[in-house]
Amino acid sequence: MNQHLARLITRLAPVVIAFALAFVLFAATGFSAGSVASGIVEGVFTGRGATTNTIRWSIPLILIGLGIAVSLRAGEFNIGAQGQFLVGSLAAIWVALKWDLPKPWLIFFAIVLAVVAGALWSAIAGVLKVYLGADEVITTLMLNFVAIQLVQWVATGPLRDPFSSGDAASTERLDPSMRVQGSGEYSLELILLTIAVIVAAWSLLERSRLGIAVQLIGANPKAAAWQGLSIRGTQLHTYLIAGGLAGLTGATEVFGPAGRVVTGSTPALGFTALVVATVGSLAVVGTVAAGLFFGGLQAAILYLPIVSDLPPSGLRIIEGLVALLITAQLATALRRRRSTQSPLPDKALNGNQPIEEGIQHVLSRRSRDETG
Amino acid sequence: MLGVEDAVGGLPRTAAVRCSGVTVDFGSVLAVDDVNLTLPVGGIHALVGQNGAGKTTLARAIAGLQQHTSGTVQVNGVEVPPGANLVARRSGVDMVHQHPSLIPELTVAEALELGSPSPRRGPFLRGAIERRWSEFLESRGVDVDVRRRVKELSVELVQSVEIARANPGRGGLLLLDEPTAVLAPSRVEALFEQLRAMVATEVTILIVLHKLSEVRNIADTVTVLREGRLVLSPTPAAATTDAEVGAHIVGEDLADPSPRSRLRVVGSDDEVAIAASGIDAQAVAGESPLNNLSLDVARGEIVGVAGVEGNGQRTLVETLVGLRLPMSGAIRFLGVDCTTKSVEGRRAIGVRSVPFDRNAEGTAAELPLWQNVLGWEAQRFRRWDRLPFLSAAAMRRRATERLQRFHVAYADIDQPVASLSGGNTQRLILARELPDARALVVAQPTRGLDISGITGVWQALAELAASGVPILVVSSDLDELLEHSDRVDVIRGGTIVASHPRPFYRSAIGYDMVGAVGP
Repeated sequence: MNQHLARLITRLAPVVIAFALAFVLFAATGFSAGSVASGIVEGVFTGRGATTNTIRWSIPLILIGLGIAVSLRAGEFNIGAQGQFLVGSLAAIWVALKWDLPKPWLIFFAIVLAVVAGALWSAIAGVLKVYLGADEVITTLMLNFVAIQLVQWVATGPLRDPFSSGDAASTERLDPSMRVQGSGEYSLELILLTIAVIVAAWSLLERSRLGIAVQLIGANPKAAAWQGLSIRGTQLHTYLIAGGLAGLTGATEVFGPAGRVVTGSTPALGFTALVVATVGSLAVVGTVAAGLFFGGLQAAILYLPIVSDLPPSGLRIIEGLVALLITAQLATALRRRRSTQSPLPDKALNGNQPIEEGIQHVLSRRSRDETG
Repeated sequence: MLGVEDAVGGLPRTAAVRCSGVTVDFGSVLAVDDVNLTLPVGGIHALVGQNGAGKTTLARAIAGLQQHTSGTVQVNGVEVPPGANLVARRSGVDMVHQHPSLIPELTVAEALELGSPSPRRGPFLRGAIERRWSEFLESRGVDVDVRRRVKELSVELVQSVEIARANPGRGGLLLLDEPTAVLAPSRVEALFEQLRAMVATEVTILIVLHKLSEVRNIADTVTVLREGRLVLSPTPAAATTDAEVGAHIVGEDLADPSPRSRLRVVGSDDEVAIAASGIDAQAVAGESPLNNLSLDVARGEIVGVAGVEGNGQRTLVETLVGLRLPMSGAIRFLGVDCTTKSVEGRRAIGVRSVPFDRNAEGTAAELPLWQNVLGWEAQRFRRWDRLPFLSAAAMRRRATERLQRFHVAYADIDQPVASLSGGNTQRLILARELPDARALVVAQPTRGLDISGITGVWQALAELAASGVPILVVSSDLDELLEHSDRVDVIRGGTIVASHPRPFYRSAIGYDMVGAVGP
């Protein structure tokens, strides 16, 4: 029990520190820390429509974050969720605007196509990584830009809303009767869908053959190979899952709160979701909790300018600090793991030895020079 | 680089190195045990022994890179306190490590300048530095463009640069740790030429070697370490035979008096349970490729594979397990052709394996015990549970059974493997691999374990063999192979050069391991 408590504290520490640092910054630059704090509380919990907004932003972050968590658990640094989300959105809006079907069928096909589109977009990077060894950080990141340009093209071309323009060019809006949620409303359907996905993700990761393989491969791919696990196959699956969930989120946004696909100024859900999954320590429960936290933060970011003179970027600082501190925490954990990997003084067991020996050698020469 | 005469004044020197009672204690192992060694000034002195005999550790102790726990080391008459690399270097010792220590990303000139005992003062002037090191290397007979990056150079060129750099100059001592291990056979002679040229300038060389043919070729004297102890003091190489040196390396020249108490399960005698024939395979880094390798193991038989490390052991095991496919030849397990089967395909017919490195390859350190002990088997858990999802209770139950059966000491089935000792980790791997094994390939089963751990591992293997399972064990510990195997195959240069039945003659096996003539 104590151990769990210690883990929880370690997990929450970056968040607390980030808030503390941000408030020091706010106070130092002349904003009233008290009014910012009360503004945040109102934006997340107590203000008008605050909980609705918190849930509204939590849903996409959780959905995308769960997919990213699966991917990272397998050791695949798929940071292309934003692009996969956008491609899913495009698939959904295309079905919604161009297909002529009754609402349930329309939503069904839109979801299927959005999932497939996101999964395939992700699979491009997956295939490049698994079969050709292309670094997935680069390919997934670059595919984000391709997706952004695709949105730009669709929103200013084929599906253009004639009344939008410039930075905020967008596609036509969905007919309100086709949506499951108007702005500023709850959507029970979306909440139920999210809960279903959470349960499915937990079962997949903790209680399925694929999940066991994902965990083993992520923890030690060499051991997984010796035990005959299909490393390529498993890794490809994680690309499909991550992309599929991001694509699904595209559909929920189109039929839910967004109602259209906008270029430019939308919050980059795919990137925030990456932070969500990491803060949630790549576990399902953690990711859900982190999703709620960052959903609340997003709601507060949009609410704060109404009650305080703090610009929205002020709270983005908190988001950035959390991401930075988590990364720092992970880096030390990684280094510790590497240094404890082989405790034997046997060079055959220690892959780092040549480098360490080399450094030691150089240092000994240096120190001699300094002392003599 | 260094004027040794200046450092030691005009003192008369009778010995380049004098070690008395040098001991290096790693806690669980005595790596070097009470070694008294005196090397005369001048000449090339070979230091040989099995893996883990303490050769590298002794050399490092002499160079002040490894703290000795007791005894004294004198270099050129100056005592080197434990770990005092500076003192050793001032006394004119330098060491070339087995792995290159020049930083690969830098140019040769930059890398040499970075490690120089007397770097250029003042601003960094590329031209001046390049001129300096280019002249330096030229004066030592190494022909290389110092503006090229270290990583672009061939292994042998990097090595000759390192040797030139480490060359302590007239009257100094140079230590070389297995310099031939990284070289192709055809390059070895060039290295030896470089060393002979250095000896001509009154440098003393202590060189760690593995092959007796190389000892014959280069060394004036030969010294043998076994299990950390000096078993052959520097002896003129011409006054020894390969067989004598081989016997010193592996131990007493006696037939092993303790045959394995269990009889072989012969059963269907002509059924060869593990069979590799004519295997050619590309080498794992740092090893010989497999070259027309053939071996076989009968049901219930334990066959040990002995050899000097780097002769293809890892390549062999990885090829048998299915991690790499051979270029030619055939592999059969239990009568089934597995030559092109994947690891999973081989496991499906009952092939199991214990990898070389229990931490890096055998387990996932941060995952809980139950996941590690089930591992691959968790893939099959639908057997217990018809639902598409696995039953956590069933998995934990099975994991607990296995851990208890193999006497793994643990507190909580959810604790990470990283919290286990080496012996318990190895037992966990056995608990995963042994229960359903119908054929077993084992690599380094006891490396780094204490006595009770070693006993436990071999007991488990013997029980498995008694039930009719064929077991192939690759180990660099010859003693354990002699004690527990029914047969010992010797691997050298990527092929099985001999197969020794009981009773074993150590010297014969040792002779095959080091080989008088290179492969």
